[in-house]
Amino acid sequence: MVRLLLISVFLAPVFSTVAQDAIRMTPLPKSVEESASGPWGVLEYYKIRLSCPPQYLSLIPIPSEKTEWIFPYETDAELKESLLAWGITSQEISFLLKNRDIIFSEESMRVFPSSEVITEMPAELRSKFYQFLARFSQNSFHRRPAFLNTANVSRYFRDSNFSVATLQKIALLAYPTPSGHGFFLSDIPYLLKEAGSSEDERQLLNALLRVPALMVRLNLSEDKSAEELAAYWTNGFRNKQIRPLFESVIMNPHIHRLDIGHLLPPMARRNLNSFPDMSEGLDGRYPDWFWTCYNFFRFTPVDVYANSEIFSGLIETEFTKSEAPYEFGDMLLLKSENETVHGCIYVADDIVYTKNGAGLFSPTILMKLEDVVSFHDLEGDIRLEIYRKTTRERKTSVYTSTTAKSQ
Amino acid sequence: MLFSFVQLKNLLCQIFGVLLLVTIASGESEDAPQGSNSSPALQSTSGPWGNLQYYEVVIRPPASSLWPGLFEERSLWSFPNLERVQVKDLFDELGFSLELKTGIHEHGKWSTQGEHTELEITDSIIAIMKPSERASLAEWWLLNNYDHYQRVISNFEDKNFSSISKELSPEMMDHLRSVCFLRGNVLSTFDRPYLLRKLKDEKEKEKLIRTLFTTHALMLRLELNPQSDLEPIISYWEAGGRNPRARSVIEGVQSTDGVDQLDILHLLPPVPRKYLNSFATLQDSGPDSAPDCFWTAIQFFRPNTSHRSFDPLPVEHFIIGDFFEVPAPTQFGDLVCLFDNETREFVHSYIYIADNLVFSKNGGSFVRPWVISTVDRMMSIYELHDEFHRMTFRTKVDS
Repeated sequence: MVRLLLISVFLAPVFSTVAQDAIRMTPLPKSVEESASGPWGVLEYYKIRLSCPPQYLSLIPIPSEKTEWIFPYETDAELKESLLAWGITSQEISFLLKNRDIIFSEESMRVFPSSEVITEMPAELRSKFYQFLARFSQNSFHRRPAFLNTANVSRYFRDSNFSVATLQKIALLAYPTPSGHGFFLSDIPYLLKEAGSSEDERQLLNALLRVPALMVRLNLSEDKSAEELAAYWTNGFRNKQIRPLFESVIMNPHIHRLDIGHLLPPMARRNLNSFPDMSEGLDGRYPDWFWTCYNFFRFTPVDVYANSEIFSGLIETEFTKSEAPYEFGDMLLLKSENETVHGCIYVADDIVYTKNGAGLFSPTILMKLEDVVSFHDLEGDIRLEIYRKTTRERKTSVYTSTTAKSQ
Repeated sequence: MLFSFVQLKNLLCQIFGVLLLVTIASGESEDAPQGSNSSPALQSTSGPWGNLQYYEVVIRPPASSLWPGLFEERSLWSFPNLERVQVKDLFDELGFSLELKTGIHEHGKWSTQGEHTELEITDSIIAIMKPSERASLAEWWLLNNYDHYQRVISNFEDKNFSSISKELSPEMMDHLRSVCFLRGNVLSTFDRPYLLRKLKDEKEKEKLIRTLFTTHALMLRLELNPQSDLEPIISYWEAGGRNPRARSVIEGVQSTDGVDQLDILHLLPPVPRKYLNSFATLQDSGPDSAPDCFWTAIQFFRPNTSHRSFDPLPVEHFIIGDFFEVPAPTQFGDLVCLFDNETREFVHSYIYIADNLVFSKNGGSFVRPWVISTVDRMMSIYELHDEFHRMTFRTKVDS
């Protein structure tokens, strides 16, 4: 038992890093949807699921199937007092702590609930209690739960080859998000009980780690002037690189749709629908949301992150707080109280460019803004702030070399 | 190794890489071959890559990619290490007509810049110059004054000027045709200043320059339907594990009703995805080098680019260790290198995509984008030379 617990302590944080990156979305619609018409034209989009490179899966240590809750308290009395203050009744507390094991260690208590408690916990209590657990960074599965943006949880895993029993377990363990949009899933360790072999475990992880992303294309058949569309997608001077192709494509009567990958700036295009390459972590970390936003228009990326010391300074000096309507390339900050919990780049209609986690298992994708908000809205209080890249005076052509080759 | 140990790749790639297939636009110029129309219509090819459909588009450099030297309006001929009298002898060697030599004598303005003899050419001289005389002078510059050649030459890949003529006035097209010449299959001019002098409006001049550097590109998409046998298609685009993201993208598209096409952009590795259909910037460049075909080809599967390929190193430095030779390009991402048949000097390189489709950047110029094109279009510029020695390499999976 002690050995099992030690393994759990060692592996859970690593696995939870993966879980933090995982976004779960609705069952994929089996059709193409259309955006509202706007200065961007009309977009068509559909969802695909992105699987991480197979070699990444082998990097994941499998966590223990024993669920663990960690509290920064030293006594049962302290724990019960905090739970009561959170709005959990005495009766519910008794239920949660029924037949549990506890290890007290280094100013915290580690509670190992019984399987019955995990499976029989009412959804409302689960939602409330797991929000409580999410306040403590050690509970990483609860702090960053998987997000199932669906009204029918089991359908989400339709293509996963899960057994009916597993699908039923997932449906049982999912709980409503604070925003009421979709469900969260935190009991991933418990789901490992359903894996009959290490191969099953990998399949389970693979299914959990698949990330639904939007594939978006611009419908060129719509009655929009080329100049109007070009003005939107080039965003003045900021995205000038795409103009030569855009000018040609829009005049070609045979091209009715253009994948908007072609309309993103080069660096954003490079990263679209891509998991980070391992080489990107050579400096010790992988791109996070701020790296993704800050470098959206940059040809060569700068390594700055949401917790970089210069974060606030960069926003202050290089961005201007703006108002709706959004423009292509605006940085949307998701604020919970005074804390920035995430940021993404506005593309068009209600579609954004986002990287929802800082790790290897978080790809850069296009998503609906409401999905991004729900994914990061752990407290139910997210509000948006708009920041627009400050325009700099362009003094001269960057190409000033007198010996430049002409051909 | 069979290929060159001489580091000439940058120079040669820039020389040959920029020479794109053309046929001359009209019968007004001598040596004018008959061209065919470059159709914008849909084409397709089927094979282990699946069914690819593609369109041709044209890409013109943005104004921000143009530099002041392109707008020079004086027609200057430069002859390094030659006295004026030697230049006149050179005109004889180049086969200049008596009429042209007389015109130069009467209207040309001679000057000396260091060890260069310069000759400023007037419109009257340009008017009497024949395409064969232009071709021989351009050939001399190519071999003896490459810097000048690079500065003045413009090559056209547009057969019959079909895309160019839509942008320029009939009068300007007449001027353009009058100063074009053929070297083999390559249609060129070095009289850009002359054309600029015909225009007064700065915007028109910018449009002319952008139009002169029109590049053709292909927009590719993979057709998928519920009946497609996915595994071999996925296997092709994964390129033996070199491009692992292909699977989830292809599977995702196939599982969606109403979606039967996937833009090839999503199947390219990160580096070509970033650069496709765009132009080099100074951030990509070294102090004396800019991305060219070799820079492009050896970094196709790398997650990020490096300026290491600008360093004066032999080609094999970059090949040995990271690639292994294969008999022929049969797989997505194979690197094809062309070497001079006699000297084994490196000439050009490109990446095999599928069928006759390749990814490359022709030359190190800022006004030439990275594109996917047909191998025929790219290779036809080499017809004026002997057969090339061709070698194909494949990236090692763990490199």
